[in-house]
Amino acid sequence: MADKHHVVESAWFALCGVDELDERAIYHTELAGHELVVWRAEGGAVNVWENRCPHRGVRLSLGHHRGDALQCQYHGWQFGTGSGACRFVPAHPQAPPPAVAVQTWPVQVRYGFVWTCLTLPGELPPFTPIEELENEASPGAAPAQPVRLRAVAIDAASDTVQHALADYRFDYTGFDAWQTSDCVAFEVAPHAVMIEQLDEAAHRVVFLVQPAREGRTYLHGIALGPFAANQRLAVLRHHQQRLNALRDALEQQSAYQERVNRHDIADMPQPDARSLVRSTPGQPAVLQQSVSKPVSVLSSGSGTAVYSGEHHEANLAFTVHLSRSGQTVNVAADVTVLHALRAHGVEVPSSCEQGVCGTCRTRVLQGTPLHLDDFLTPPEKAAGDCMMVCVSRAVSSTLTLDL
Amino acid sequence: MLKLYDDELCGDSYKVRLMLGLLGVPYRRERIELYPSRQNRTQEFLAMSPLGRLPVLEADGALLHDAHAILVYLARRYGDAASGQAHWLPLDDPLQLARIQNWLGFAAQLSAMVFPLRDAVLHAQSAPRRLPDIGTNESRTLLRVLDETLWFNEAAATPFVCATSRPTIADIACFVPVALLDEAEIESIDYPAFRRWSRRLKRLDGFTTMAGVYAAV
Repeated sequence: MADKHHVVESAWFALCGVDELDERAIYHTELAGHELVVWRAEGGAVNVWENRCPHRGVRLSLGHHRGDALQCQYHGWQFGTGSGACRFVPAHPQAPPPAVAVQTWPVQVRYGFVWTCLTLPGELPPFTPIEELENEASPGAAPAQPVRLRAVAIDAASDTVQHALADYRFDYTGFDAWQTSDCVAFEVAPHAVMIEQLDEAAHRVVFLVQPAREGRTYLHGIALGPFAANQRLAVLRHHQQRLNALRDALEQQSAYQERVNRHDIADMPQPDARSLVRSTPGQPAVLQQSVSKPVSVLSSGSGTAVYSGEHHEANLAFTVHLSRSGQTVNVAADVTVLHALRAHGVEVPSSCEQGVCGTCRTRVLQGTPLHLDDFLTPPEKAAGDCMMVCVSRAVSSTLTLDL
Repeated sequence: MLKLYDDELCGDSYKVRLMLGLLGVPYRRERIELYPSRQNRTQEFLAMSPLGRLPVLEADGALLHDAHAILVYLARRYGDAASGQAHWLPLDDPLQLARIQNWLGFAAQLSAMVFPLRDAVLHAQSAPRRLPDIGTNESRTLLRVLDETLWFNEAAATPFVCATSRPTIADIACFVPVALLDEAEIESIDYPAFRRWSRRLKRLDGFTTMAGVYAAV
């Protein structure tokens, strides 16, 4: 899993179709290097969670859907819908559950997809509607449902994929695999591209780009109807063929690029994704911005959020005073507070030792902690009166702890 | 009674135990440990299975080798219409029969990629020689084809490997290498259709687990 100390664009991304969550599914996906699980509780609430049990770090996607909770496969801890809070520990059925929660992310269900934004509450950007899909979904519109395409995983960067969509072609007449008509591409939202046929039918398909991790992209699609019921499968297969061709071309290209970067090859002809995807040469490939939806205000770097920047203080030594015992403990640069305390015979209850479980929460009486955990909420971090001693450190040169 | 020579951790052996469980056929087990004692290389076992491969089924006075061959035998010997189990290997439709053969071959290819990698992970052995290719391009192509097939079969309301409404032996043969991907340290995150198909199989009466393969709840 990628580290969290990098900039993630603060925008809403589609993760999966809502029907992927039927039959108590636990949908496993990834966004900007964060492994996620998506699941729907029996009451209908959709959850987007970090794919990690806060107890011992096992993937929740290996676990079980318990109706209104997910249960980890490893020790059976259960985490409830909504808050992600632990509600049951099988080993201690009588004891109140520990104050531990799965990291949860915001959820929107729009246009038949589950969307999330990897942003802390309070910094959440508004959802940018995609008008082309709003119209389709409105009750008075065409009676036929749009067709949601199978998501395709492509081992290429998301901006490369989004750019290559400018050359996407399709043609429903006869559903001939290689027949194409002229199409034009519009950027209808920062991570959404609409392809429209330039003929009387003006069929349209909208693609939603999900940057999974560096060098991997998931591409979701919706073919806008109306379609007859017996046409839907043909539409799905038609786009699948085209998307597979696009995927193969992009992967060939990025594999080539990788080898060039390693100086492995000198005289290999470079594959051209365009020539492989399009079969109507001469058609100008322009990625246009939709007239209805100017994207410039949202697509640039202005809409980004920094999770936690590079902390230069992160590896400095500091001193900890213990108010109850009167002890003073020096915390060296590469030693955690927890380990420094332990070396001095001071035991603080701890579990994950990675700043996620909340067990080692300790009151801070004086000094400013440098929070490096994933457990405390932003207001709690800002208050500065407690810290997770397993990972967090100090901004000030000394800290006084209630120990 | 049937006698199965197998190893708890062997993927091909699991295919046969799974089939026996789903058909509800009682059998005796004789454990042949592959690792670390390599009991499959003893003279006694090589006399039964000249290539030293598991599983071996002693049935009707014969010794059957090869997991997929044993699946064929069990499906026809015990999966009759009276028990409602004829769907595992239907013989009346030539196209269906060809598809099953096709996907058994596919499963053999997939197993040949996944199982050696898993052995390397579990037993910390040196990895197979062609590891880099296996880990990426070859297995990726196979897994993509299987995921796409399952997705479209599901969309057509015939959610099993051979586009049938009830599972066949080809589902058993493909399920086991898919269920063991994690242990082979091959990512399955790109193949969401696997999970729904696997859960469908796990909910069948008589589904049998093995180490690393859990039952559905």
